[in-house]
Amino acid sequence: MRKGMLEYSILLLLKQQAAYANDIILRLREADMIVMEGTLYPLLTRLKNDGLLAYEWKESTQGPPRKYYKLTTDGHEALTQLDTSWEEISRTINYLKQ
Amino acid sequence: MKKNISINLFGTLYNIDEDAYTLLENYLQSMQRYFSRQEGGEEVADDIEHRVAELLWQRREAGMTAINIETVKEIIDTIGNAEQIAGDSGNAGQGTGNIGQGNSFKEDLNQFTNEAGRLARDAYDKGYKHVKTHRFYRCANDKILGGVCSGLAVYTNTGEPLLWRLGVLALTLLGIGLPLPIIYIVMWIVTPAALTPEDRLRQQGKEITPENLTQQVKEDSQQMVMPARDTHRGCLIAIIIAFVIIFIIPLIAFFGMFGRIWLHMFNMIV
Repeated sequence: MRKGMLEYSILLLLKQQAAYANDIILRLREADMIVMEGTLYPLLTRLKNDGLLAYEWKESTQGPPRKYYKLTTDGHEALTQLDTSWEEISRTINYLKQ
Repeated sequence: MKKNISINLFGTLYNIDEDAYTLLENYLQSMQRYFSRQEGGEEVADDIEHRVAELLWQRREAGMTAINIETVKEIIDTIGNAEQIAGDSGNAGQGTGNIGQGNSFKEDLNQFTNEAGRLARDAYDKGYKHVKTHRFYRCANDKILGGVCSGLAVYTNTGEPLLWRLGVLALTLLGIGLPLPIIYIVMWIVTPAALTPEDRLRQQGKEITPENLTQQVKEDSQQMVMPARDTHRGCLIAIIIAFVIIFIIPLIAFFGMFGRIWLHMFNMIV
């Protein structure tokens, strides 16, 4: 499911640096992953409630304050696990493709 | 020329046309009500409101002095393709045309790769079980007296409330449906009026999804259905009083008179 992809992608994006929702959407669009803005908010909230993400409010010069999300320790761990399983799968697929 | 009002969103003032304001308020309220049923939903609704504020800010920076209804529709379209807010982007497989064939491949792949994906699905399945109910409501926005007839027209999906009204009137006048006015008044008293977009969806037997809600909010704003209040209550009271005066009081008086005659006769016998 794309939703699973989306979560993995969000974690990957936030691995390097904290970002707020609109940055995430723009980055995902750059990567040809089509996301409607509204999709992201429930997803981010759930990842936060699962303890994978944390956020802090930052004042913005362009409107109301923004929530900057970043990975927690649990988030980094989850990402490592996802990386591993992704590697395994792609190895399998690549092998079968040959 | 349109009336313009000033709103305060997270400490910033915006000038907004009255119709645009109504649409925006309905949209935000619907989202709030929708998400409030889920865990962490209030936060999501709050995020959406923040995003709306940001998009309004951008437009104001770009030189838009007054926000009109077109802008609000644009904003709703940007944020709220609500089919996806509901989290069924994967299941639906629609609206993501560019992915096309690749989608099913990704789906298959993820089904056994991504534990997070599975968890997400479970969470969404739990959180987004839509309850489809079909309930009778009186129409608060389309009515002559209490909106019972138009409510029936919407509930049964038979279109014109006028036919129901004429039917009730004709039957009553012909003397066949003498109990009809009483039934009407009882229905007026016991059934609720459809006041929110959710009510209107339930009235039509439609599922309450953000998508339908957004649709309904837009439709309401097009038909200039303002957030209705259940007016005409005074009218109901007047009708009941009239009813009492016309039927009940003569009845009491009638029996009262009999009572006196009985008493008189009784006295005579004694």
